[in-house]
This record gives sequence, C-alpha cells and structure tokens, in this order.
Amino acid sequence: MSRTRRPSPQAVAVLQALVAEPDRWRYGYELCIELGVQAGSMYPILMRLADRGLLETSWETDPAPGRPPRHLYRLTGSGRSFAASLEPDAEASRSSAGRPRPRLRTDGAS
Amino acid sequence: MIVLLLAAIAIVLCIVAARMWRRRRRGVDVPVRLVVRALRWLPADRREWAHAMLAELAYIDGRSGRWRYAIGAVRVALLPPTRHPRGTAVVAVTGLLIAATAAIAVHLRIPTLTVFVAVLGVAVCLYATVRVARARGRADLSLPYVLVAATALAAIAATIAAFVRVAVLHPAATTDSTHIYAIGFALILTGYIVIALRPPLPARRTGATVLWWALGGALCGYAAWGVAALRTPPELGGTIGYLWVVGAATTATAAIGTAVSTRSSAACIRAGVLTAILTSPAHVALDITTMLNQHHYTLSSAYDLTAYPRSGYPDIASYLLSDAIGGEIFGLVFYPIVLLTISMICAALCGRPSRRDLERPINT
Repeated sequence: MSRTRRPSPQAVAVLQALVAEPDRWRYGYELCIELGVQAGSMYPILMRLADRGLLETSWETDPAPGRPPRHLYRLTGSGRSFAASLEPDAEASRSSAGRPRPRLRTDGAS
Repeated sequence: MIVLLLAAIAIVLCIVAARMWRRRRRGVDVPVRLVVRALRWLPADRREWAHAMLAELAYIDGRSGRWRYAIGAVRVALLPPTRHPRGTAVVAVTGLLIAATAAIAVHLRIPTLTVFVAVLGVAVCLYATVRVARARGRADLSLPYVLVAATALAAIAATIAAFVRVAVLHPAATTDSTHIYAIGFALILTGYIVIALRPPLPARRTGATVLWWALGGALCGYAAWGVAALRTPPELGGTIGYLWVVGAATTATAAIGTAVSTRSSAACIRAGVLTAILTSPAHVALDITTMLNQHHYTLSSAYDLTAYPRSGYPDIASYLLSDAIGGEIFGLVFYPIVLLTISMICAALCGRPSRRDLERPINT
C-alpha cells in the first residue's frame, strides 16, 4: 500500500513549472534558475518525482559541440494529472527565492 | 614532533598542489573535481543522476554559479532521497535514545566523560542514519570488510576503555571545563569509524586486496607493540617512541604491498590510510595503558616542576595523565597525517598514477 504524501512547496513549484509546458523537455539547471531553487534541492525533487513515476527522463540527442549531453525532464501522464490535482499554491514558493541567479549558457539547449 | 608534523603537511600540500596544477592544465576546475568526487558517493542506482548533474555543470558559466552548483551536488551526494524513510527514522530515533541513555548513565557514574559520550553518541547516530538512508539492497559484507570493520571497532573500543580507566582512577585527569577536548575526541573517533567502515573500492579484487593488506599491516603492528609492551618496563615514554616506528613500517608495508599487487596509486593510498586508521586507536590505547600501569608518577622536566604546583591538579598522576591525554587526542589527528604522507610517497614511488576518473561518471 503506498501512501500519497503532499509534496513540499518546492516540489509543487517544480510540478507547476513542468506542467506549464507539458510537452517540452526541460533540464535541471534551467528549472533551478526559473524557480530560484538550488541544485541541492532541485535534483532530490526530480529524483523523487522520477521514483514515483511522475517524471520521465531522457538524454539530449544533439548537445552543444564539445559538451556532454544533458539530462532532460518532463512530466508523464500521471505526473500531469498529479500536478493538475494540486492547488496552485506554488506562487509562494516560486517567489520565495527570487535572488539574481548566475547567467545560464543556453547554446545547445533543446 | 611539531617539525615532523609540519614536514608531513608540507609534503601532502605539495603533492595536492602538483595534482591540482596538472588538472588545471587540462582545463578541469575545482567545482568539476568536487562534483566528480561527490557524485561517486551516490548509490549505484542513482548513477544516472550523477551523470546528469555533472553534464549540467558543463553548461554553467561564472565561478560563483559553478561553486554553488558544486556545493548542491555535494549535498545531493551526501543525502540522496531515501527509498525507505521509515527505516531511516527508526534508526535515527533509536540511535538518539541510545545516545541519551548512555550519556545519562555515564553522567551518573563518570561525570567527566558526559560530554564526550553525548557527542560521540549523536555523531555515530548521525552516521548510522546517513548510512541507512543511502543503503540500497543488501550490504556487501565480504570477509575482509567484516574483519577490518571488527578490528577498527575493537581498537576504538579499546581506546575508549583506556580513557574510561583514566576517568575512573584519576577523575581530575579527564576534567575538561571547556569541553573542547571531549568534543574533539568524540568527533575524531567518529571520523575513524566513518573511514574504517567505508565500502570497499568498487573493483572487487582491488577492494579486497586493500582490505587484506591493511588488516595484515595492522595486525603485524599490534603484535610488535604487544611484544614491546611486555618487554619494556612500564614508564612514561617507555614504548611510545617505538610505537611510532612500528606504525610507520606497517603502513609503508601495507601501502607498498597493495601498490605492487594492484598497480594502483589510489588503492595504495587507501591501504595506507586504512592501516593508519586501524593502528592509531590501538596505539593510543596501549600508550595510556602503559602510563596507567606505572606505580609511581614523578615530575622529570623543569617545566613540569614549575608548572605542577600552580596547575590545580590534586596529584602528580592526574597532572601527567591529563597532559598525556591531550597529546594522545592530538596524536589521533597527527599520526594519520604522517602515515598518509608515507602512503602517498609509496604511491608515488610504486603505484601507477591512477587513471584520473574525471571521465568515469560520464563515460561509464
């Protein structure tokens, strides 16, 4: 029997960000910058979502020259349903860390 | 002794600086090194995520951003999401209860050791919790791993027992109003446990070779010290100098033996460090036991003759043992640094420079 626990505000923010463009593959640092979440928090969230079957992962097929392919993420069908079922209270967590972030090099991003 | 310590630290720093310089020439900065190192701690079933985090770092500009990202990766590596949170919580709560009970019991019988026992209990509990949180499937309990773990824990237990004997026989010797020594000693012993119980190197044969050589080196050291302790009349400093020579010899033997067997610098250093971790607590336990077996304590140096009357200690034994305990706690840090230096020199002379596994997380 699995118990469904309500995700943390940061996880809710990640789900909301992913469900906003459900077909688009996103990468981890892009989500970090968009949501103002540190990598040390973002990746455990992504791991948990993937463990629960809410997130599908893939590797970039056409990476930037001289750079390794990145890991990409988007919600599965059940992930989209789960994200839609959550109350949109992610705004608070989105705005909680609105510090300026380091510039992201976007060349080669999918 | 201080000169030896400074020389050892200088050698280690030179070797580390030379390695860093080589890596910098290859365009590898510290955040990449940090992430590679940290992500290797991730459990095998999280390895894909390690590759993902490392690949992402290649797209991050700016030193501060790269450092922040690297620190985040270290955090993920130390505390990855657990698949069995209930078991982790049980271990944490049980460990804290045991630590609290032990601290209360010790406070009632040997109050001078209360802080030490409390800090040691909490630190070991934290370590056990992290190990359980990171555990995946059944642990690989090979024979050499179990023997090394048992030997390390026995040596640490012997050290603690020796300190308890001092606290019972000469309570004033273990009085520590600042608690700095108590906390430091507890954290150092926890560090020993963490290093001794590290999972073996992934390559099964190399991992076992390291463990066997370290265990063999440590047991040879114990045997030599046992003979020395039996043959030498108990007096302050009687066998202490000899212990150092034996420790250095056994560490060098284990490191060289591992290097010759595996042709790996990393395995060589690891065997040397493990030998040091296995021998240092036994060294301390033997030292303190030797001191406690004395029948008469006398002040021999001019400094002690001047300082003792003003020290506030009730007797000479407490004064000398307190001083010796401080030195032994310092030695638990100093001794492995010297032995690590010996291992690194052996690795440089005998081991093949290990293929830098920077690429390993991506290419494997």
